[in-house]
Amino acid sequence: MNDNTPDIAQTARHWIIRMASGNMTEAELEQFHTWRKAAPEHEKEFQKECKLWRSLTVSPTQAQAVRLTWHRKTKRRRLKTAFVSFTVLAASFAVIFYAPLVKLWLQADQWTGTTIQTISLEDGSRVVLDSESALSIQYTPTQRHITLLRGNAFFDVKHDPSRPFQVTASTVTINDVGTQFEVRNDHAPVTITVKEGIVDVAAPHEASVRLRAHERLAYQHTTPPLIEDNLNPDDIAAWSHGELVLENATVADAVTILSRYHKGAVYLLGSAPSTTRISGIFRTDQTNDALTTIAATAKLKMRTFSKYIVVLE
Amino acid sequence: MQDNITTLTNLITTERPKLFMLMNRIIKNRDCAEDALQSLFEKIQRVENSAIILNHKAYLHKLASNLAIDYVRKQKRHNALQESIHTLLWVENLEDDTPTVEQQASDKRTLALIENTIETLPEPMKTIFCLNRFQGLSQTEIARVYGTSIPLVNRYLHRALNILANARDNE
Repeated sequence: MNDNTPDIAQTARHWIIRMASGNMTEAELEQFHTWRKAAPEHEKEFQKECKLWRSLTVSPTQAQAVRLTWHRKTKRRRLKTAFVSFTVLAASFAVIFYAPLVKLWLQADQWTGTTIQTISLEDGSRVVLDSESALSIQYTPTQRHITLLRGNAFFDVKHDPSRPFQVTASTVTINDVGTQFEVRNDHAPVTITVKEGIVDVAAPHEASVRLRAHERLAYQHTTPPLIEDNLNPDDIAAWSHGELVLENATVADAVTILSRYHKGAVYLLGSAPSTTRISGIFRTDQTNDALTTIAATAKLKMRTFSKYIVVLE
Repeated sequence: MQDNITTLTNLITTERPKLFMLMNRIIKNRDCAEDALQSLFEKIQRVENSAIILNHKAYLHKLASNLAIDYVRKQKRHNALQESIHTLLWVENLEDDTPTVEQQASDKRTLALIENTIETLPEPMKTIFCLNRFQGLSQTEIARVYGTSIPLVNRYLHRALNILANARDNE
C-alpha cells in the first residue's frame, strides 16, 4: 500500500482521536476542515483512517472485561470516601457468602427486587424487567447490546438498521429484526418468545434460528430446535403488564413464582398436596389476594404476620 | 457600610435555595444548576467594591438568571458541536462503499487480524482504547477514573491507533 504518506496518515489519525475525545473545540473542528480541504491526499487519508476507525470490533469477552475494569475502577473511587475498613470487612463477607451475587451486582446496570420495572433506553426502545432480574446495557454508536444476566425481560425495540439490537442470555444471542420479544433466563434453558416481528437466535457452534411472531423457542441445544407456534399473544410476557398466568402449576411452584413478586417473605410449611393444581390469572401487584386464592384451593391455612410475612401450612 | 463582595456573599448564602430554584428552572438539570450556582459564587468574588449597587438582592437574582441562560446557550452549542463531530466520524458516507467480492474477503481477513491486534495491546493501553472506542467514554472521563492526565490518555489512544493502522498496512 502507499507508505509514502506516513505523516499525512498520522495527522488523519490525530484528527480521528480528537473527534472521539469528547473535548474537541469549535476552533479545532475549523482547523480540521481547513486541513481536509488543503489537499486531495488529506481527504484520501482521512477516509482511509476513518474507515479503519469505524470497522474496529472486539470480541464480547474482551468487551465484558473492559466493562468489569471500568466498574471496579469507578467503584473504587466511590469507596475512597467511605469507611474503608468497614466496607472491606463487609465486602469479604459478601465475597465469601454471596460471590455469585456480587459478580452479578458488579455487572448489572439494572436490577429489580420484587417489583417489575420499565426501563426507557436512550434510543426509544423499552425494556420491561421482571422481578429478581438483572441486565447490563452496552450502547455504542454502531451497536446496541444488552446482556440479560438473570431473570426475564420483555423488549420493545425501535428498529435501526445502522445500529443493530442484540441481546445475550447465557450463551445464546438474539438479534432483533424489528420487534417485541421476551427472553427468560431464570433457569435453563433460555427461552425466547416473539410477540411481534422477527428475531434471529444464535448459540455458539449452532446454526441460527429465525423466530416469527407468536413463536417460542426453548434453547435445549438439540437439533433441530423445538419451536412452539400459534401461542396466544395475550399470554406472551403477560407479567410485563402486571399479570401472572399460571397453568396447571403445583402449589409449591405457584407459591415460589408468586413470592418473587411479594414484598416480604412467603413460607410454605409442610408438604403441599401435589395433586392440587393451580390455574388462573393473578395480579402481580396483589400477591396477598393471589396467595389467599391458592391457600383456599389447596385447603391450606394462611397466616399473615404484619403486612409482609405470609405463612401457608 | 459593608463592601459589595461581603454583602453579596452573605446574600448568596441566605438566598441559596431560591437562587438554585431559579437557575434550575432555566437549566432543568440539578447537577448543571449546581455547577452554574458555583460559577455565580465565583463571579461575585470579582465584583468591584467601588461599584454602586442599589439593590443587592435584585442584582444577585439578575446575575443568576443571566448566568443560567448563558449556561444553557453554551450547552446547546456544545451539543450541536458534538453532533456535527459525531456525523463526521460515524455517519458521513465514505467513498468506495461497494467493494468487490475479492476485496470483501480480504477486508474480512484484515478485520480479524486487527481484532486480534487489539487483544494483544498492553494494559492499560488496551482498556483505555476500548473504553474510548467501544464504550464512547471521553478522554476526560477516562483520565478522571484512571487518576492520570488527559494528555497521557490521549497519548495511549494515539499509540493504540497507530499500532492498529500498522497491522492493517503490513497485512
